[in-house]
Amino acid sequence: MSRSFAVVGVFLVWVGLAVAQDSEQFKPKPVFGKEARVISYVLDNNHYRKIKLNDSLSAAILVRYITELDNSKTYFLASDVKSFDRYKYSIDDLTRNENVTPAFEIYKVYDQRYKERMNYVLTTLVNQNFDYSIDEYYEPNREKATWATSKEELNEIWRKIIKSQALSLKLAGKKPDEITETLKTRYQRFAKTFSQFTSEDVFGIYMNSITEAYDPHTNYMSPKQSDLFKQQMSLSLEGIGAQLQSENDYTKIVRILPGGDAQKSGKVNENDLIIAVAQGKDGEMVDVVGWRLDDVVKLIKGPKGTVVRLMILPAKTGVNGPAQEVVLVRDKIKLEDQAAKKEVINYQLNGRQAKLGVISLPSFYMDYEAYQKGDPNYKSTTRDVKQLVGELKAEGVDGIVMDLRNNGGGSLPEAVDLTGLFIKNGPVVQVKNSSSKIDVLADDDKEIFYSGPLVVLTNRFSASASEIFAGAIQDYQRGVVVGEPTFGKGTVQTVLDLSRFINDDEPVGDLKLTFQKFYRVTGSSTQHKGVSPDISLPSAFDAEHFGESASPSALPWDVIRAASFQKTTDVNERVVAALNKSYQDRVRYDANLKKFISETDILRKNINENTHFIK
Amino acid sequence: MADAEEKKAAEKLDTKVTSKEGLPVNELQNMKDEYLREGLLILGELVTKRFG
Repeated sequence: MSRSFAVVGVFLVWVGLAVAQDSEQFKPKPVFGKEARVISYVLDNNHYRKIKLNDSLSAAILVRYITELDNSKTYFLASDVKSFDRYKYSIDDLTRNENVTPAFEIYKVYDQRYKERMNYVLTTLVNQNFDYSIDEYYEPNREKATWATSKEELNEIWRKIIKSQALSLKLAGKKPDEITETLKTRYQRFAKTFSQFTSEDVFGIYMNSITEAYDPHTNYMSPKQSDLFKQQMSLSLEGIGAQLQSENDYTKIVRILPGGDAQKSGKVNENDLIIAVAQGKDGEMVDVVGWRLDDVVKLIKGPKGTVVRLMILPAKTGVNGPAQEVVLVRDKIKLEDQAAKKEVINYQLNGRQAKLGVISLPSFYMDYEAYQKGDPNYKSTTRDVKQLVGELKAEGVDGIVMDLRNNGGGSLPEAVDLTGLFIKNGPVVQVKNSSSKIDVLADDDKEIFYSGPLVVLTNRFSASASEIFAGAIQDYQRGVVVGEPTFGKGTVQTVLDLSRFINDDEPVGDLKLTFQKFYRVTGSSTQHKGVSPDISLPSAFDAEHFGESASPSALPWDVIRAASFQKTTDVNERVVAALNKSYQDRVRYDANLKKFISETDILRKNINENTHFIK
Repeated sequence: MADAEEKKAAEKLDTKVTSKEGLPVNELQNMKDEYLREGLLILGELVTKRFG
């Protein structure tokens, strides 16, 4: 199969963008308009859905943007939202004309309202002595609520929010003055984080309101988010090998990664605080106290072999101790935490000691850049898993569990190649593009690397490439799928570098675009339905609130013709029925399992509960 | 009847076996990850269904 950079469902954590400046005015940069125009053109012409950015979509985008800013309806007033109607049918035309004004005009109102709310919380609510004898409740999910019509109404909503949080702290054993201090610190932190938002952040939220109106997996990625995405896919980065975290005004080293210069130097320790960063041997130290984490990370990261100097407050002397300068050389760091891992569990089986292997796979990673450069040892899921399976075979395991829980997907070619380790040969997945052309992606290798007993473990957050693998193993009857129904994401994305279309001095981002839908070899899409396990374990997450079905703009489920493939005889219906029977026996008699089912029921009820009593 | 079924189920699952020295040898019994535990128990069953 061809090695196009097809990506199926890697979830990114949004981490924000540029340098913090309290006085910064939110305004569009010219490059934003250029990016918006190119993105709207690509969406109109290349998105799987084949829909046009028009008045109808404009209205939906406006609602989406307002919701993105104020999902809980606790900041905007009804009059604000009504005033935004002036953009209801013009976002389409404005975007095509490189105009992103609505993003910034609406955000300015949001900025004002947010500051009003924080001011009210910090000056009034955190100091209140709440009366918990009053019979009242608060509903955190305000999706169906109407917008508040006055500031007094918002004040009342916020009184309940803060009372609810104060009650939680009280129940945790905090004294009144500790409750006040905790809430004060919490909301000061929120206010500070908010003050560090930039125009790039605003543009990112707005552009994603446009792209996600087409489908939830078509996203705009800012230059920084794009870097992060590539890091996650390749499981490597170029830096000093330290995991950082923002703590109050400081950047704290929370973990030293193996192989980086932070570890090799022996001069950096966990819990040290970084207060300044300098480039090269003579660069000027830049004070980073109070900076956003991603901006500090940007200063510290850099090409392999270059020097970065850190001014740190060592953990042993704390914030009042003398600062020390540390000189480090950046290197390529492998993010092995995210790579496949194996484990052997001993098990007493029919009176003999058996060994069961477990392979945990957090994502379907692949270092695409190294692959493109012709590096024969590029980081690859399939290569890593093959090695682990080989080791498990050498250790004499009787069977293997492939643990795909919380695996959000990744590289489509890796999903196909990985499946090939467990089947003889044949189609693994079918992909259909927006012109209805269907390609069958197959494993052409007749060798079965592992032919022993196989269980694939899934949960609601196993998505995309995970669903391709689990679906193929189930369709071929090669193994048993155990767990929760999977996420239900059956679309394929490609990443377009917008700099190919835009000539500008400012950096531009990428567009992750849904351009194909995939189908199991049986012809069934995994959209919404996901892969249903052969043996269902208790689940706290229902499809209405979690997974693809929870996204209104998700593409629909459908079916195409089946591909020609030969099922194995490894796991037939009789075997699955017998396994289900054993499981049901255990449901009745296994105390651990009964307890787990009971706890899951409680968790499900709590997740779906939208009434918090605050008395 | 229920007792008999329970005993049969427990024997079949082989979850209470100890080593010759009398110490527990089944790591599954102490596993906190319930999902993985169930996956492994089902794999153990599958091993016997196919090869046992």
